[in-house]
This record gives sequence, C-alpha cells and structure tokens, in this order.
Amino acid sequence: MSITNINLINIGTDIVVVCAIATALYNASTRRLQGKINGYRLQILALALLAVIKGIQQADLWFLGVAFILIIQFIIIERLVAGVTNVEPRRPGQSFRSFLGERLDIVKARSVWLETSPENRANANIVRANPLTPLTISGALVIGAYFVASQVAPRAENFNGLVASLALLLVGLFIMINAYDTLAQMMGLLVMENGLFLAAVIVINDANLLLAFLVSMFAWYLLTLIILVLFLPRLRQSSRSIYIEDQKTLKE
Amino acid sequence: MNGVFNEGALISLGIVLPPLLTAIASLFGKRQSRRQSILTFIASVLSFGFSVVLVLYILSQPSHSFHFLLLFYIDALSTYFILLVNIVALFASYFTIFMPRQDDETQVEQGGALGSSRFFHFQFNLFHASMLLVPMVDNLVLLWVLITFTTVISAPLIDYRRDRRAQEAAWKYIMISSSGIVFALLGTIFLTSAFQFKGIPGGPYTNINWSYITQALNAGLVTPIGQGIIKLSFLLLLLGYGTKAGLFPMHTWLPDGHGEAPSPVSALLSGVLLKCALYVILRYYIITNLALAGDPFASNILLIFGLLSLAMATPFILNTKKENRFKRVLAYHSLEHMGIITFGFGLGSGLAFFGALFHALNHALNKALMFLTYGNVQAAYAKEQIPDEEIRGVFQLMPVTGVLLTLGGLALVGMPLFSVFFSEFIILWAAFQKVVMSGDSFWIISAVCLFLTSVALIFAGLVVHLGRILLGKSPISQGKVREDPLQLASLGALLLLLIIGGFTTFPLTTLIQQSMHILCQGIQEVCLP
Repeated sequence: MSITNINLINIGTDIVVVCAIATALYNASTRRLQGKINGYRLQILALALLAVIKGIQQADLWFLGVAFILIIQFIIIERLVAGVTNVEPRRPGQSFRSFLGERLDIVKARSVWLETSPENRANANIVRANPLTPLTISGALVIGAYFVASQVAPRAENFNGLVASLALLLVGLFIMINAYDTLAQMMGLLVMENGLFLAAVIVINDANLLLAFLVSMFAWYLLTLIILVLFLPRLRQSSRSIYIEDQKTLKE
Repeated sequence: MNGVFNEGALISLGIVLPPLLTAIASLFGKRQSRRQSILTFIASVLSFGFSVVLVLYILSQPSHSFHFLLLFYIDALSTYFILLVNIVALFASYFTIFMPRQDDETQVEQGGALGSSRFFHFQFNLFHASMLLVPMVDNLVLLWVLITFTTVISAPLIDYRRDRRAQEAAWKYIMISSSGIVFALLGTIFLTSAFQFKGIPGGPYTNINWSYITQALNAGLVTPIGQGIIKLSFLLLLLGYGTKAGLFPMHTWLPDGHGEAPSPVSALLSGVLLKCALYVILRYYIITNLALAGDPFASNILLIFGLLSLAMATPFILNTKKENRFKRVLAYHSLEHMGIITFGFGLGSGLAFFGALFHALNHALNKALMFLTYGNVQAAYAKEQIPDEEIRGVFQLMPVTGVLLTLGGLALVGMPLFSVFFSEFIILWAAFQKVVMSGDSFWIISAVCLFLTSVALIFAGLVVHLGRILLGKSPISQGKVREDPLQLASLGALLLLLIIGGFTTFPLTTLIQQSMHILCQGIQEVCLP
C-alpha cells in the first residue's frame, strides 16, 4: 500500500474517531430519546466504516465481520427500543404476527418517547433538562480521557483510538447516570459498548485476539438482548412507567 | 502435566457436568415438583465430591497444575476457588428443597407469582456450573464471557418472586453489572494488546491465556509496551470485575440483589459470585505485578479499594432503622468482608495472602449460614403475612434458629473462637509485619486504625440489628412454627465448620500455601514467610 493510501486511511480513521466522539456528545446533550437513538445509529455507522477501513488496511476479513455486526445493530436498534416501549399484552385471539407488529411499531413508540421527554416532566432537575450542562460535563469527560491517555500511553501508535474509546466509555456512563428514563439509560450502556468496539477495531492488531473479541461481543449482545427483551418490558409493565424515579421502590 | 485431555480433565468434567446436566434435565421435569430440588442437591453433592478429588489430584501433581483442551488451566488457586464454590452450592442447593414453590398455596394467597420452578432450577444449576467454570478457564476473553454469563443467568434468579421489588433489584443488578463489565473487557483488550511476545512456542490463542502470559513474563520472554497502559488496564479491570466483586464504589447492586433474591440464591451471590470475580482480579493482579516488575501499584490500589469498601460499609450497617431490612444488612457485610479480603491481598505478602484466602472461605461459609438461617425465619413469618420489617422475637418462636443466627452473627463480626476472627487476625498480623518491614509505616498504621475502628463499629451495628429481630415478643403465637430438624442439622454443620476453622486451617493448609506461592509471583519484597 502506498504512503498516500496509508495517509488517507489514517485521515479517514481520525475523522471517524471524531464523529464517534461528536455523536456521543450529542447523545449526552439531547433530551429526546429519538435524538439519542439517532445519535447512536450515526455512531454505529461511523464505527462500521472504521471497521471496513481497518479491514482493508490489514487485509483481514474479521474486521468486516465486526462491521457486519454493527450494521445489523444499526438496523434493529430502533425496533428493539420500540419493543420495550410498546408493552401492551397480547389480546385474546390476536395472531402472534399482529402482536409482534404492534410491539415493534416505531411510530406508536415515538409518541411515548415524546411524552416522556424530560421537558414534559415538571420536576426534571437542571442537569437533565438543560442540554448545556450535560454537554459541558461530557466535554470535560472527553478532555479527562485525553489527559488519562496522554499520561499512560503518550506515544502509543493508536493514541486517538485510545482517547476515543475511553471517552465513549465515560460519556456512556454519564448518560446512564444522568438518564431520566430506563430507555435513555439503556442508550448510555450502548454508547459504552461502542467504546469497546472502537477499542477493538483500533487497538487490536492480532487476528487471534480479534476473533476472541468477536466471541465476547456475542456474549455482550446476549446480555443486551436479555435486558431489552426480558427485563425492561417487564419492569415497564409492572411499574407502568419508564421513568427511573418511578422504579425506586427499594430506596431506603 | 500438559496435554489435550488427562485425568485432571476427567475430574474437572466430573465437577462441571452434574450441574450442567441437571440444568438441562430441569427443563424437562415435572412443572411443580420437589424432585427437581432433590436432583439439584444430588448434582451439587456429586460436583462437591469431584472437587475433593481434584484437591487430592492437584496436590499429588509435581507442578500442582495441569492444562486441558487449550482453554483450561487448573492450579492450586483455581482448585481452592472451585472447592469454595462447591461447599456453598452444596448447602444452598439443599435449601432449595425447602423453598416456597410456585404451587405453594400461601404464596398464591399473598398475591405472589413466583417464577417457574423448572426455570429456577435450570438457572440455579447453570449459575452453579458457570461459577465452577470461571476458575478453570485460562483464556482471558472466555473468562470475561463467563463472568458476563453469570450476570445473564443470575438476574432472573433475583427476580424469582416476580414482584416490583424483585424486578427492580434484578434490573439494578443487571444494569450496574453490565456497565461494569464493559470496563473489564476494555481493560482486557488494552492489557492483552500491551504485550509484545518474542515468539514462544504455543498454540493459537495462547497469547490471551493468563497462564501463558504469566509464564512468558516470568521467563522474560514478553515486553510490556509501557507501564502506563498496564496500570490503566489494571484500573479498568478492577473497576469492571470489582463491580461483580461488590467493591466500593460499584457495590450498589449488593443490598438490593442480595436482599430480594431467594435465600439460597443470596447465599450463592454473596458467598460465591463475589469470590469468582475476586478470583479473576487476582489473576490480573499477578500479571500486573509481573509486568510492572516490582512496582507495588496493583497492591496499593487493592489496599485503597479494600479499605474504602470496609469503611463505606460501616454507616450502612450502623443504620438501625427497621427499613434497613436484615438481608440488606447482610449484603453490606459482604461489602465489609470483601473490603477486608481485598485489603489482605493489597498488603502483598505471603502471610496476608494466606489470611485473605482463608477469609474468603470463612466469609462464604458464614454468609451461607446467615442467609439460609434468616431465610427460614423469613419463610416462617411470611406464612403469617408478617413483613420483613416487623420480624421480632425469633428466640421465642424458633429458639434453635435464634441460637444459630446469634452464633452466625457473632462469627460474622469476628468474635474469637470463630474462623472469621482467625483469618482477620492473620490479615492484621500481616499488616503489622508490613509496618515493621516497611519504611513508610504511617499509611499502613493509619489503614490498620481505620480497619479496627470500622470492624468495632460494625460489631455494634450488627448486635443492634440482631437484637431487634431476635428479642422481644413474637407477633406469632408460640408453637405455631415447627423448626425442621433436617434444616437445623445442615445449618449446624455450617456453624461447626466455622468453629473448626477458628482453630485450624487443616485440611486446606497445603492448598492455601500453594495458592499463596502463586500469588507471590511478581512481588519484589520478601513475600513468602
């Protein structure tokens, strides 16, 4: 591969890394769940592109496997979140197909997402309601990630990737902590997961390790699916709410 | 002994297969049957029997270790944790026989909708099997997968009661654990990418096997690309697996998870699951110590996390309001004891490792005793529709159970004559030894003072909680509850183990010493006594 191509790949990688961080910041600052889902999907696209770039650079098909997983996630995520939102039980005599169709109906779910936006809740605190505050905090976390990376591996070959994966992890955690409802909290967990993808794609150069990582990603998906398909709908059904405040019955 | 398949592998299969097969069999069993519980218990007995054979086998091996099927490696430390898992699982599975079941009329009257007994036993056995596999696995990524799997499989167990509180506890547990293990996987990626191997012979994927990395580091055949990245990786790993180990500040799932799960599950969660996560941390502790060649970073971090966990448990245990239900208090005791164990490992000396390993076993046994005994109390009062917060006069209603709870409680707070006192004393002794040997004694003395103050306050806190539930007039008339001699006998056996452990570590002394040798790798100071 010529030097110009390598430079192009490096520039492409850096652009994708910046996109991933920017979408994470957007995700942290937006108050609407639809915005968070869109931001997350954009982030996934950026990461899939990165996996393709790395696959071409290293001539390794496993990276394309990573990209494939990401694309699947891009396609199904909105429907999965809709499935958690529409939790009406199956009516007597209703076919499974029609039940599933209603459950995964994005348009129907969107009305709930709009209703449950922090703007519509009178007692939403300032950090959650004002988009600038979480944006500032997330920005500080990105700077923190840069500081940590520059302290531990200042000359690392994949320094930008290290910064970005740490940043996604911290911002994702912040989104989870700052979330107003259980679905937004889930989006935070998914952003953290993207930090892992980024680390895997950028840091890993060993094919064995990448394959092992792919296996671990399947375990991770199993966990995410169990939360999305089993726990969240049940929690929403029993509490009749997606607000985190309404789930705190165990609070001392 | 190396090889694809050997006697050790057969013994290991004997350990894992009974709970695995029982898990599958549970799905096909009768829907509402006590037979499933008996089958679960038999599987635990078989698995325990094989783990005793494994102890004898591993001690008879010249290298005290063996490999099999490329992904598995068992040494004295793994064997010790396998034994620990199986001892607690043996008692916990026995108590599933007495658990309220889906067909229990009382539960139905109370509006409870318990989970299916088939799925309960499927999950219980699978949970048991996955915790047995954790100490057997050599591959670091597979280790992460297994720890993730323990979360996937244990969350529905917490939600067994299917009421709002149980659902919330399960949701909290799964969300906190999931966010934690993301850190752990990132740490694994960073750490495994931070080593440059100098072409040692080995099969595919061996460079992500901890035994291979340890061996290569010991032989100087691998170079870390930088100390900073190793330290960052260890921090991420500690944050990640520390969440599962219930260390501060990632412990927040403990009181809800342990408090809402059925008692046999609480015993497994507190007694064993936390130790499995700790086992993984210990493997990384060894790698980090070897990679940092003499830098006590990992020890210091463990010392800090341990002390913080111990100190932060204190106010929660001292909260004597009746809303602070007893099972939650027991969960905070897990935070305390995990803190003590981590503090012990953080001291980084052979004696401290010995004490911390022994304390891990003592805590597991003690927690099994407390959760299972209190589970009996809870069940008796629940039958009369008395909520947890209103439990009083256990001595009056269930005198033998009351005595067991008192003695178990005293053991938990480290009273002399019990094994917990013995192991805490060894850890403290190791700390004093460190003061004598180390020039920088101020921090260790401060740490010891904090340790002693916390332990003393926690003692007072637990006495108040126990007094509240044991003394006073019982809301249930005397003679209405019959104590089951079979349950009492098994709880008595647990108590007896705790008393024996107060005098000797026999027959586990050699195994703990071998484990201590493994942990001493990479420690530059004089480690072995």
